[in-house]
Amino acid sequence: MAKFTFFLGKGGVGKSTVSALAALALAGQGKNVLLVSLDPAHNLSDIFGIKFGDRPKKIITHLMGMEIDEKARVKKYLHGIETRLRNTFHYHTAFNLGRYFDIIKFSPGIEEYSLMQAFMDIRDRFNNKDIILVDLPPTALTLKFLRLPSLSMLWLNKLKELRETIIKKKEIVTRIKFGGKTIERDKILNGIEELLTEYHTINGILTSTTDSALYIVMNSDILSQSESGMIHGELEKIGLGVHGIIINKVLSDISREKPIHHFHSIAHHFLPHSDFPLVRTGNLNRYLTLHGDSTLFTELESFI
Amino acid sequence: MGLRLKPYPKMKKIVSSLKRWWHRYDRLYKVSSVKLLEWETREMENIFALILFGFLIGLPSAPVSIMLELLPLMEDDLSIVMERLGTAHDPLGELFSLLDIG
Repeated sequence: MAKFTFFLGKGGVGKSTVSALAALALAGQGKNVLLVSLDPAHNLSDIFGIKFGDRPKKIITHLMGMEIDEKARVKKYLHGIETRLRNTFHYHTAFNLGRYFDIIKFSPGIEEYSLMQAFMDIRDRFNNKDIILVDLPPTALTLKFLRLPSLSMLWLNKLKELRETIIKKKEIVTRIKFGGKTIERDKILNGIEELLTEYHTINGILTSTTDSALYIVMNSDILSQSESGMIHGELEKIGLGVHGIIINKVLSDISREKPIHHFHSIAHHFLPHSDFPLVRTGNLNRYLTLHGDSTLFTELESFI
Repeated sequence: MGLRLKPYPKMKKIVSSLKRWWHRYDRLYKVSSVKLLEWETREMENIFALILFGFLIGLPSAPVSIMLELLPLMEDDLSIVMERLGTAHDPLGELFSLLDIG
């Protein structure tokens, strides 16, 4: 089963570069790696100079890359729901659905749900990989995405309770009116249970310390530290642990760097600033030759 | 052990009329209690749908992803919400008429 590693953090700290370096380092060790960008403002294409899309493309041996086309996925998902509605609803009820769905695509919550669907799709399709590295969007969307399973389970459990009470009352009415006639299983309750199973699986992956690892990427500046502290606090609230802190673009001698006080109990990995642009495989490999001994790469290798 | 009523035909008549009376009484109260239970169930279904589609009328509601996944299964529930909109201005009136008050 493929393991997941997520890179999150403030915009501009170098999440895509760090995930690209990690992917190359692991592929260089012979691991089968998939690098996925869930960030709607993709950077992987620019980093590798390869036009990535919704299907994986080979970068080097053992390494494939892809960028999720979030807009296309939202469109496809809503079209699927609309088709299901037209098939199950009466004609007059479904008549004006087109216009309704044009508005729904802008509803809050759609973006993160689409990312979650993409994540599940990747998990199902690329389970044969050793590791799937996920370059996450900047903080706001990432937190919404990571919160979605636990928040949805909270709602679904309450909806399930209410639905079961409704069903119990309906059964009493049927028993009194029609004797022992059995009523068919409630399709809404079925739907709720199916969604609960799906969210439970996703939450299981995210909270597992053996199947997935979350890394916060940050820089040494105050703003970056403060936002990373906030991310850590929010993740704790939903029961997600941070596997490690990556301090990227370190300017001074990294042997002198000290752990940041917000995260004293979490492993720190320091990646020095590069004097040359970290784009294209050649430059990234050059960086790995210079700094490939970083604890980040050895930790990731042992995680698999 | 059943009652031996053969020697008392009058008693048999009384018992069977009591039974008839009891059945009528039972049916009458069952009908009104079932009506109340059906009303309560419909109200709960309305609340269930409002939890999911409340955002359409400005109420805080469940994540839109849950609403979208369950929407294709909920045509009947949507009809209840639409029906309830018609009587929403006088919920007490509806309840009183159901309970035969006033």
